[in-house]
Amino acid sequence: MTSENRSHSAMALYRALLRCYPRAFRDRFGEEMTSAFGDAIAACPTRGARVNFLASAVVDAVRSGAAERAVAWRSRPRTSNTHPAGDTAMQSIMQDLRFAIRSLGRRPGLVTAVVLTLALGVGANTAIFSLLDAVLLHPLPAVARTDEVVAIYRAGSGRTPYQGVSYPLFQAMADHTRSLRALAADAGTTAAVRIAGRAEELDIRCVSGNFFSLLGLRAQAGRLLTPSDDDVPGAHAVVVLSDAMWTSAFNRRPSAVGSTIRIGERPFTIIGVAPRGFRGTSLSGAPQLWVPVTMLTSLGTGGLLATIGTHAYTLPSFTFFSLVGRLRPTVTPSAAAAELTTIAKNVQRQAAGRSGARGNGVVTFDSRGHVVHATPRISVVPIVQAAALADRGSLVRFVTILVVVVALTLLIACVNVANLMLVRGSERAHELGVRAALGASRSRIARALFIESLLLALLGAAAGIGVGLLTMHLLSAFTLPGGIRLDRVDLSLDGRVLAFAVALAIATALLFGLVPALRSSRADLAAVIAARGTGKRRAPRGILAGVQVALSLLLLVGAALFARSLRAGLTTDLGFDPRPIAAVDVELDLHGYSTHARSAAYFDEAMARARRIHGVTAVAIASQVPLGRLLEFPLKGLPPADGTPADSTISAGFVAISPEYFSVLGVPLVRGRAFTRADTHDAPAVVMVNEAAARAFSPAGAILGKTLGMLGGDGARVVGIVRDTKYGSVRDEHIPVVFVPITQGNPMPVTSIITRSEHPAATLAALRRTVAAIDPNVSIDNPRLVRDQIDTVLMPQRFGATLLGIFALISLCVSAVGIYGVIAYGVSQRAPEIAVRIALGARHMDILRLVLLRTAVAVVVGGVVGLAASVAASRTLARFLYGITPLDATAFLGAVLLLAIAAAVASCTPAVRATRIDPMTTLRAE
Amino acid sequence: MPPSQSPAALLPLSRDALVILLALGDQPRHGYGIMRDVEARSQGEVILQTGALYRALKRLLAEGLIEECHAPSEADSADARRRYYRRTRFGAAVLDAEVERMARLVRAARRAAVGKRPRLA
Repeated sequence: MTSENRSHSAMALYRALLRCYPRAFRDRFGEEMTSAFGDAIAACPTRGARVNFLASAVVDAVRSGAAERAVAWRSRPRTSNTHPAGDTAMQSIMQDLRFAIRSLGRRPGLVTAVVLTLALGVGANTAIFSLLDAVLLHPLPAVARTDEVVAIYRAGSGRTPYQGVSYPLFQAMADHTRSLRALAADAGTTAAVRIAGRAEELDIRCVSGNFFSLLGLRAQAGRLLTPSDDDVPGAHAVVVLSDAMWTSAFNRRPSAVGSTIRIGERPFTIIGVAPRGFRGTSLSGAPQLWVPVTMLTSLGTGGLLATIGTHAYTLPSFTFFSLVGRLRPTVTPSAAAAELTTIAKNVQRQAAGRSGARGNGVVTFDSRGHVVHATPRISVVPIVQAAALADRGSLVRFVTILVVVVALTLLIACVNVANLMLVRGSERAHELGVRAALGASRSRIARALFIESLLLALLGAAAGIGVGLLTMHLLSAFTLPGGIRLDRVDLSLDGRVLAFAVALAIATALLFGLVPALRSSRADLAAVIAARGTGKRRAPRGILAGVQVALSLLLLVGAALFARSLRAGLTTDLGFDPRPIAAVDVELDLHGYSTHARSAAYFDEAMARARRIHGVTAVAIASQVPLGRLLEFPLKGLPPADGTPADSTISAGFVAISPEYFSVLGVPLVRGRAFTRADTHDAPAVVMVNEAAARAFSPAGAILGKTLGMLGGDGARVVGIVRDTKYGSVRDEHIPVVFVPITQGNPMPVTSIITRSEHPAATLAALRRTVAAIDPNVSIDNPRLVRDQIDTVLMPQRFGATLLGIFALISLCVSAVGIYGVIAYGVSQRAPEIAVRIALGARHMDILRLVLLRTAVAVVVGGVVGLAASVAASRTLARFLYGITPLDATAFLGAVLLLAIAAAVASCTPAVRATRIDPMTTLRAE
Repeated sequence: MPPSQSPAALLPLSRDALVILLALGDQPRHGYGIMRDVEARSQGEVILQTGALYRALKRLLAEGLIEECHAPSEADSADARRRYYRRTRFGAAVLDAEVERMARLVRAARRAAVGKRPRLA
């Protein structure tokens, strides 16, 4: 932009600003003013000076314009208020508007308080209800007619209530269903991808060809998958990009369509780009690529998928697929579930008839880890719920808490606005009485107050939009229960919610702005004017202060409970010290390390190099590092002592470790011995267990030396017991874990390299570089400090403590202002009475009692009510509280104490002022 | 409007009116000229924005303290929109009265015991 253009736009702005002035003024001076402004801005030496000058010109125009309009209004041709002859309705409304602006302009403190309070209430509600909408109500904005779309699972129980189905079962359902218009399969994995010159580990969804058409999606470039893309396993190497991938790898170039990327070792042709805003059917994931479902085993992922090959599409026990369907109109999910269950039972019966096998090979576990062979039952869940299925109960409850909190905030805001407006109304009772006495009609006065209240409400609502946008920006730093990262979710300002909150703000301001108007216009004028100074009707404001106290206490207790829980979580005993531990993951079988010997050599080299990193005291490798997902397998329990055969099955976590594992983590050995390098292939098979496993397998406590039946092996002797550690999350109970030595084969793929060092953050950076240098083709995943993972796990607590803490502190301030206002107002209204009492010899204590008693009663009653409500509400928080009870005494005491201090501080100043009233001055003024 | 009242009736002058009357002392000026003169004379302490300036000009015109005049012959006629103003005789009288009032005020303040404020009853 040239400087000429700049000054041009500045001049245009200034001409627009001239509209602030009355027309007569504009006609007389407008041209000159524009000329002077042009000269002045041209004389500004720097860009900064120009911006400053422009800003001050805006302020000047608004201020001078308003003042000049006020002058014009005062010197207008007078018409009687009672006989507005020739005065059109619009003109008189404009007059009222000007009057309202001026009269509010005289009370900047009040205006600020009302506008900020309304903005807080409106903004917080808009943000949280938009969150509710994005996560629970309309989680998949890109999908057409979501009410018909369902997710289909095998019903499980215990820890895994929703399980996948096999490909043959999917095909049988797709062929025979009448309740679904279409059914698509969807399986996810990660694979090494070379795209636009980078090697990355990406989330890939393998979907059947009708997946996109079922969801009603259209390509924004190229085409999406069609049924002809999934007919032959391994045949169609085509891929659809996500909008994010198209942007990051191809800068949204249309020419990306038709080019090739490599997944594993194989080239895939890009056929199109999924629509913007489509991030798969689950909120917790964000797949970057979609390939045909029949390419699942052709992605070079190695491991299980490589072993199983195309059997993946025929084996009834390979239950890797989740299903998405679209219901026919009028079919309910439960009717569809009944039909699909029947189909599944028929499939199972036919399979049993063919092979005599039991069931279709699916094994499930109950909550105690016992194996259950159940007849299949199919669950059909609306996709809107399924999009956030993991830990859905927690999610719903957590979002509910947020919604309740912001609703309370809005309530507090409304109460505060009501309080402020009532105070203002009482202040003006005298003025309004005088106006009425001078002949202003009742409706005219009411309209003036209506416009004033409306103006306040609109200002508050406008500021509320700003607060809402800011809040949503803050929200994106958090993660909801179920692993929903809010920076991946489309949070947009919800128009309906905004409209509702604005309407509520307006209703509040109007209601409490108009009450004094109606009162004063109804009242006997002489009485209103004469009543100045006697201060009746304090009761409603006292009650409002009490309500504010109760609500604030509720929020304070909630925030305190979350904060205490966060602290308990951060200081919880994991069974090991997480601080010195840093770890990275490598997926060797994704990168052509097909043999055990090759990957063993890789890890030997990695450990040797990691040990040389400065500050590292120990290095280990393992299939799993706390805290992370623990793979669980069923194990036969030990035979009881009476010699009957074992019949119980116990689900235990399985971790393959190198001998240094426990010394790196610092987990103490309770009994027996740790693994050594002597535990080789040739030595007897050995395992170690944690204390929980020792209790589960052998309640009598003699597991050491016993033999556990192993997966596909002869069994292994238990040689050592280590202390329990938390595995999945700090909130989990201790679960049974069996450790196997990697030196005796490789039952679990080793993925993690773990170090212990004094400066783990520095070590982590060095570890990434060191490991990457061994083989540049191997991608390094998930570099992490275990300490940070705890923070991730405690995200709901942090979220709750932060959000509730902010709201609670603001509402505390609002309440304090409310208490201050009530007492200060009471003191000012009763100054003559107090003066008389002081003149008659009342002591300070008497005066304090006089001015504080009512408010103190209201505050104490409010506090008690708030406390009772907090006790009742804390139960609903219980699920998110870790390490403390819902009735945590520290949290409750802290909240009450904080509130008491705020109330004391707020009432101190006006109360002391009351005792300093000078009787002579005050009475003379009357 | 012909000045029909005594200069004292218009006192005290607002700050803006005072600095504008001072700026129009020696020669006629246009709006931007006044802004520059005020800034220079007060060494940057008083900066008049256009809105405030023209509000004050409007009032001074109405009260007859200043009047519109032709552009001085030496002025460049770069901008036809410019209008020039000068102080009227009445304006000069009001300015003198204001300066005298301020001087009295300063003298009174100097006589008073500075730092010993009378206690308000």
